Amino acid sequence: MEETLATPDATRRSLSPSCSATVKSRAAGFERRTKRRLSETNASVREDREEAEEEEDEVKEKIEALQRIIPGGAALGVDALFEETAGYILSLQCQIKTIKVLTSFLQRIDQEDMKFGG
Amino acid sequence: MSNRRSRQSSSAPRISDNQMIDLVSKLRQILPEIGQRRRSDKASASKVLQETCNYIRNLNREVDNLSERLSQLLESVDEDSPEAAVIRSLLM
Repeated sequence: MEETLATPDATRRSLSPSCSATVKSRAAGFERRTKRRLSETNASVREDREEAEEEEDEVKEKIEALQRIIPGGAALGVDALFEETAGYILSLQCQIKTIKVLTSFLQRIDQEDMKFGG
Repeated sequence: MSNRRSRQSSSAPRISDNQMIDLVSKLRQILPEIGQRRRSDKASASKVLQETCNYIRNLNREVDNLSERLSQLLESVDEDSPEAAVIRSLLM
């Protein structure tokens, strides 16, 4: 193919109509291939961006859910929200221990009452 | 009931301690990850956040259930009994 397209020196000085058409045809092909590659690149970038945005949205949604269940969490930034979350968890655990102690104390009283027939 | 946060002298149950330590360390680990752009870090952050929300909801539910049981037991205590005096001294 390349050998067929090679032009003699005598013909090179002046562009014949057929030679001009060949040059245009090659340029058009190059443009088509370049456009296809650029289009594919753009599509890939778009997919990556959409996926990243989807994951960011998921994380943001989870942070908003956390803000809803932490008292006063809606007004906090991310750093303060996490510190408040840890403190709130510790507070809830202390509440649970306290209530369990009181509950076991009262249950022991009930058992003693039954034992003594009171 | 007082919501004051204070360390209790008695040692906590092992499971609760382990859960607490594990969860707090996970929360600390999230903070630098949030600022990064890596996809896998965001996915793990989302999972830890979901786990945190579920854990807090479970704790709230447990507090409600225990409070209900405590209320029932308190109603059955005689107001003039010495046990009631002990409870009042604990709560006041």
